[in-house]
Amino acid sequence: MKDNIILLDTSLRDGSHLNGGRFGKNMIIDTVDGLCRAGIDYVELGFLTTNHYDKEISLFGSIEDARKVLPQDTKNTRFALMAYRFDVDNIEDYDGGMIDLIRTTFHVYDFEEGISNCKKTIKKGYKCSVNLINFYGAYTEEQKINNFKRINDIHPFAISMADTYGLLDVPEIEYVYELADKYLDKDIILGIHLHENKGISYALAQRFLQIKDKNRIALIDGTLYGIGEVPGNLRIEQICEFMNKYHGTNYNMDEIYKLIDQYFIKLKKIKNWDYELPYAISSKYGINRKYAQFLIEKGDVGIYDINRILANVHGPDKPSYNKALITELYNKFKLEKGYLSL
Amino acid sequence: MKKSVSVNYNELRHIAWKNRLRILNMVHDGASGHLGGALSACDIITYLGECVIDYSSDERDRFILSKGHAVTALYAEFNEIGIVKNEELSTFRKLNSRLSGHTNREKIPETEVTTGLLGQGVSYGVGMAFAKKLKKSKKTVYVMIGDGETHEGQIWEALMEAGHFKLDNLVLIIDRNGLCSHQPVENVISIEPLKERLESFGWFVKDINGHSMEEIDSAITSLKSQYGKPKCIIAHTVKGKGISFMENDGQWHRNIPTEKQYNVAKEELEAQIGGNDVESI
Repeated sequence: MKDNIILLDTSLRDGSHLNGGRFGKNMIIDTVDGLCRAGIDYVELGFLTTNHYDKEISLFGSIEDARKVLPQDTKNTRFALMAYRFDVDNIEDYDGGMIDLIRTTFHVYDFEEGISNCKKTIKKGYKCSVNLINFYGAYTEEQKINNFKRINDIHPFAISMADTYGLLDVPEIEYVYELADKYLDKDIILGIHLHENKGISYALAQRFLQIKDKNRIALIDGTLYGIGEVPGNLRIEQICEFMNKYHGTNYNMDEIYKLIDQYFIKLKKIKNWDYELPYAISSKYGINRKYAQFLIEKGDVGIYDINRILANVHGPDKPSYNKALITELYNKFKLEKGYLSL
Repeated sequence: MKKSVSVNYNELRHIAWKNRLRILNMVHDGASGHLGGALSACDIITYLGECVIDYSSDERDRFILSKGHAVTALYAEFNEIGIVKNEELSTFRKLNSRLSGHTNREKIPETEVTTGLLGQGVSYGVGMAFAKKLKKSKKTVYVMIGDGETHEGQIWEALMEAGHFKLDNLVLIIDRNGLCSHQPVENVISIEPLKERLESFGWFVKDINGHSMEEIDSAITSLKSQYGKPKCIIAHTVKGKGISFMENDGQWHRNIPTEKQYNVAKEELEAQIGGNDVESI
């Protein structure tokens, strides 16, 4: 950590949205090892799950399982796991090891469950990160403020505001930072998890770091080569280069680029995760990315059509995904254009 | 917005009670003034002075009190933050005093504009907000008007202009205490549906309880998340708030308390303030 900025790599967790975490044993172990050599502050190893552990997959049922992918020499890197719809009671108490951070997810619909899981995590001795899913789009402004007040009560190690559907522009990142900084206790680390819907996640991360209070620790999530559910995540290599240039850090870029060459470029050729305009349009409307995905997969609607169809998703259907609604909107649009006959 | 402000709602409420006592004392000592509208606006003005407007900076957010007759609420907060001295409070509305009966920027520049002729504050605010846009300033202009003041035609010209130019750095606060001078606003000229009217002029509108520090804080802070539209807070308040026999009684728009009434009112406010703080006012 330098200048109160922590970088956290989530490649093996975010990447698992593409392949169920089936990266293969070598890639998992080499990725963790390479990230340690690169000097990344935290590496998220994958999701916690109740499934049986498979060394080929970056899903873990226990801390003991996760420890199997750590290199002998972890340098100064520490490790995290993501508890998504996973009861933290199922893992061991913290034993003083390098896996010391459990990230718990908070959706608008399971906030209380998130609070409960966060409390359990802290009680077990781990650091807890509260990951607020679709923080900007799912909550009213009053809810955002109340969330911070409630989070202060449980006082986790960190919170991470996930821009799940890539809604933020620069003014909004300034707003959410100011809001969080105002209401969140000063010793709680403030993090951001960005997506590439608009192709500006690197710019947003820079702005976040520019405006942050120097006394507040910031936590920036990123992934190697941007791996993650299309349209991908903030690229950890970019933010490392930024840190090396402007904050005097020494993240070892050779190690990072070796990993990208060895695994991530190849993986991206199999299943692309880059910027695609329909996802920028879904983010413009503040809606779940799956609406755009549905239309892309139909294969017979253009960008103009997608823009017009997605404009009709309103209210509670925006952050959640209502497949019946988008099917209806799609069919209606096709009918109006004379493409579909009943 | 002031930097590094930790919002303590209990402390803000306490300051607002002290400000109410200052308001009462000013009007009593000056034997002149407008208690009802100052008391309804007091919580919001207290919040703005404590948490938003950094009067030590020339590059600050601006606050215009268009309903200038409620100026004692502003002087009270100015006293709390040191712009108005203790000994000045008793000079309210007296000859050669800085504390005139409506805001006067030549006497106290921090009042930003001279008001008194109702209906002009929003126009000032539109001009200032426009200028800040041109200068690429990120600061915000806050304007408070009374609900009865919306009867002024000039208000609607300014509302229309702000909507047209998408002045999202302008925040209008309507002190919706329901009384226009001494009679119900709706009996004079109906202004409802106020929210829908404002929205039709291109404004983002939010209703709050104008005496809840939590709601004031939440609204003022979160309005920043609205882009591309001017913003309005309809603050539902009680005219004469805080003094039992003045609440919702139109007479107290302009009435001056007798000594007996003053003592009762003072006792009520001092009971809320408590402790040594009463002595310092």
